[in-house]
Order: sequence, then structure tokens, then C-alpha cells
Amino acid sequence: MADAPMRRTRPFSVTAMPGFATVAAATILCLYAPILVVVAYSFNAGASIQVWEGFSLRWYAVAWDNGAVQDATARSLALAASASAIATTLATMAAVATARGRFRGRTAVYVAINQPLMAPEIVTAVALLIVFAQVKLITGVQGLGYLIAAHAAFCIPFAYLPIRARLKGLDPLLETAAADLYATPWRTFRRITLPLMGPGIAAGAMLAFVISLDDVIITEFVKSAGQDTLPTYMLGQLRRAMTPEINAISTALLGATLVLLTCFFLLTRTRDN
Amino acid sequence: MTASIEIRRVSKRFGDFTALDDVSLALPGGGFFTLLGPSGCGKTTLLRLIAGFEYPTEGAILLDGADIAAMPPNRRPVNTVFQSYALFPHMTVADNIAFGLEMLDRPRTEVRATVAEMLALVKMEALARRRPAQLSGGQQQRVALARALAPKPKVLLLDEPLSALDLKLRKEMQSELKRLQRETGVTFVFVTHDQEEALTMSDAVAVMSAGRVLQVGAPRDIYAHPADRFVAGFIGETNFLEGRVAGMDGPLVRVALDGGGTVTAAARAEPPATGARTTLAVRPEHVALTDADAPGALTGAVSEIVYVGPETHAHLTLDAGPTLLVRLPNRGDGAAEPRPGDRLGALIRPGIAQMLKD
Repeated sequence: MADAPMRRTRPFSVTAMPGFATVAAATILCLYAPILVVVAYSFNAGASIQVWEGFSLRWYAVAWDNGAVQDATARSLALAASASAIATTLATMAAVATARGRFRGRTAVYVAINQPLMAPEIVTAVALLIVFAQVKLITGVQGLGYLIAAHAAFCIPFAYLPIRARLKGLDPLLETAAADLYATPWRTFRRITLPLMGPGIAAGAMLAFVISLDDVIITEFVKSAGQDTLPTYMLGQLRRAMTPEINAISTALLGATLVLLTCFFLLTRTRDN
Repeated sequence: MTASIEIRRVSKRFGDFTALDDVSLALPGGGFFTLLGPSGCGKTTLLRLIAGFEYPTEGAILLDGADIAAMPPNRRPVNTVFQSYALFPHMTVADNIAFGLEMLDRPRTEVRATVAEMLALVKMEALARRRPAQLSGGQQQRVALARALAPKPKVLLLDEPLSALDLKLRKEMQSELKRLQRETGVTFVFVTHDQEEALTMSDAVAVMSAGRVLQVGAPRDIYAHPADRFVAGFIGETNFLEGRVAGMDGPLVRVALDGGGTVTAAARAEPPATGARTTLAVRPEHVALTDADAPGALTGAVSEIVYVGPETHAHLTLDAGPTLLVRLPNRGDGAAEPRPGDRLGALIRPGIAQMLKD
């Protein structure tokens, strides 16, 4: 083999293909240009979302003073906070069970937990609409609880995945060592497993919060009259004359999401040290 | 304080695999006891059974006479030093050491006093507020020891704790472990595959292979009187000589080697039958080289000389067939070294060769 002719073979790399840089630049432009336009026009002094009339924070003030926006924002935050808290708690329990427990049908459980990622959202939305309508009819109970339950359900897989990943990377020998040092299973969980899962849980909670915050479809189907969240309020506004107010709200929502997602990436980045 | 452990007819099977096969062992309290064997011999499994991380398929484990085989690990007065230390990464050194005491719900003042005592014992006072990730391997090792000793266990289990350290640190920690055992009086059960470590540190050694205990004894006994071929070969270097029992010579046995020559060896407990086939083990440092015509010497030709510093290894191919390894200490007195091709005699003093179990 030694005297076979040397042929330079480079491993295939997409970055070496002709036109790679052009395609990449065009893709990034297509992805971000519309968002940049929305952000830019949120600072428009005029009432148009297409004609630039100078810089102003006018529309932020308008949105801030809009009672409907305030109401929807408060509801969105309360909904996201409750739903992500519930989803994170359930996801933590599910992660401990699937990563540590040994029982039959673990794969089935895994699939069931992640079902909301696969099922078309519109199907879930219709199903929830029908079920909740029945429940409301029979019990007569109204309120935000239906939205919280619906949001918690589809947030579970988003909370579950980072928590499970963190738990998978956790050396089970630490739990053995705690048991060796007289810790009962519950105290082992409280003092060792839970604190070490902390960053994963925080990341899961943030992801769930963001997912709940910008959900439209399920919310639109499940909400009762007067239960607008920020995204469904915006959807409603689009049917009327559009002003840069909608851009201002979008930009604020984008900013909040970016902050949370940055925290998420910092938390899920490589482990301690 | 000193606790004895008795392993009574313990077997452990994982599916089809038998990790421990009817093992019985009595570990007297207050000593440094070593389980020695190659990887996969079952020594770690036995340790995990004593710790409570696994439960035996059959048999009993008695701690001071009480069967603890079915007790969960958090109820056993036994602590473990893990091979990878398994320190809690989110706690400081002091919190790691305090953990066991806190889990036993000891009063806060006692916890603090014991942690201070343990930090002093392993000389880690200055680093009490560090996290494990900020410590070197040797320091982590000390913390792991302190953490396991802090609750004052009856038995301390050590699972190859020195294997991750470099040679110099390992030597240091060997004497450190001996010191800790003497000072605390806790029964140490130490698992290793390193025969030198086992010989230098232990009061008693159990040599294991393939899920069985082959021999238990003081390091001197095991080295000087290995029970069988595996033990003789695993601990130190050994020459094996095959032959037949020719007769008794007082308490000793005369063995006629295959191919010629006679060696007078120490017998095993049961007197051997004349004419029975047997294997003798002779340590290389127990063989003396003499002139080829010395009376009683096995004759041969030097086939190889290897200089290793403190000693020189001579390979003497006997006229009878086998090659003997002979260790010659280098005393620096200018004594002439044998050379390849020299015809020499090998003298094996009566009683120094050991007859092995088949």
C-alpha cells in the first residue's frame, strides 16, 4: 500500500462548495431582514409601517398606555409563569423517572412526554377546544385555568429535554456516595440530585416560559372572550388598520424572548468549569 | 470500635455471569485487609456487597455477628472511598466532609468539631472552603478519605483509591493510608489489582480470581508460600518447575524434576503421595548461582542477562529444559556478573521452593 500513488482527498465540506458564502449571506438576509424592518419601523414617527418619517419612541408610549395591551401583557406573563412552573415541575419528575428509574415501557413514556412536539398544533387546539367546551358546560367553571392547563401541557417537552440532558450528564455515583453517607433516597434527591440539576431546571423553565409567551394557535382556540394574550391581541389588531404600535409590541416581545433565550444558552452551555 | 466482617458462602450472579462464587472470608476487626486480584475477579463486587450497593444472590454478610446483607447502604455503618472519589461538586471541601454527619442528624457543634478534626487528620485545613474542581487529584483523594471517615464508620471500604494517582503520589498516599488506619483503628477493606500495593500495606490479603478466593494470609505467607499456580504467578515473579514426588525428607519433600535434578521443597499441609506429579514455585531472588559442578546444583547455560538497576536478572536455561529466572542484587562490590553462554549451577536451598496445589 505504501507505494500506491498519493491522491489528495479532502473530506467533504459544504463550506468548500462554490457559492457557499453567497447562499449563506442570502439566507441570513432573508431570515433577519423582515425582523429588522419590523424593529426599525417601531421607531417611526409617522403612522405608517411602510413610510419612514423620522425617529420617535411615540409608538412605544402609545402601546404602553393602551389598556388592552396592558391587560394582554399581564395575562401573558401570568399565564407563562404558571404554565412554565407546572410544566417544569412535571418535566423534572418525568426526567428523574426516565433517566434514573428502570421500568418497562420507558420508551413509551418518552414518546408520550414528547408527543406535543410531534402532533400538529392545530389538532391539539381543536381537541382542547372541544374538551374544554364540554367541561365548561358541565361544571360551569370559567377562568384562566383552561389556558394554564393547555399551555402547561405543550410546554412539558420543552422543559423536559434540557432537564433530562442535564440529568443524563450527572454521575449516578454521586447518588451512590450520598446513600453510602447515610442519606435516605429523598435526602439524596434534595441535597445532591436536585441542586446539581438546577441549571437544567432553570433552562427548562425559561424555554417553557418563552414557548408559552408566544403561543398563538392553542391560545386562540382555548381562550374565552376577553382572555387575549399579547400574541392573540396582536393577531386581532392585524385585522384593522396597522400602526407602528404593533411593531413596538413585537419589538418588546422579541427583546424579552432574546433575553430569556440568552439565559437558556448560558445555562445549558458546557457544565461547571 | 473495631468491627469484624464475615462473608459467609456469598454468591453474586448478574444474569448468566457469576461474579462471586461461594465466597467465604473472615476479616478480623481493626486491621488493614486487602482484596487483591486481576480486573474482573470479583473484588469490587464483594466490596459493593459489603457497602450495600448490591445485594448477594446467596449467602450472608455479617458485621459484628449481625447479618447486614439485605440492609440498604444508608443504614450500614460502613463508608466507601470511591475510585473516582465521587466528591459532591456543588459543595465545598468542608461541606463534603460534613455530609455524612448531617445525614446522621448529629448536632451542629459536633459536626463542626468533627469536620475540623478530619481536615486536620488529612492535612487539608487550608483548603476547607474550596470546591472539589479546584483541587488536585491527591487533594481530592484526601477529601474523599476525610468524608468517608468523618461519620466514624465501623468499616472503611476503599475501591482502588490510588489508581488515578501518579507513582510518587501513590507511594505517599500508601503510607498515609496506613497511618490513618493505625490512628483511627477503623477496619479498612482495600481493593487493588496492584500486588506490590497489597503486600506493602496490608495486615492480611485475600487473593481472588474468577469470583473465588484462592488464598488468605499475611503478605509474607502469601509471598513465601503461595497456595497455587495462580497466586504464585500473580504475586511477584516465580519460576515454575514440574516433577514427581520422590520421597520425604523430614517435613520436606524431595521432588525429582522432569529432565533431571532434584529439589527439596516445602510440602503443603497434606503429605503427598510418592510418584505424584507436582509443580514447584521458586522465587527468582531465592536462587543462588554457583559453579556448574557444585554439589546439588541444577546445571545450565546463561541465555540472557538483563540489567535493571538495583539488580541484574539472569536467565539460566537448565539442561533439564526449563529456564530459571535468577535475581542478582547489585551491591556495587565489583563482583563479576555472569555473561550469556556461561555454564553455571543454580542452588535452591532445601525448603525454599514451595509445592503448589494442582
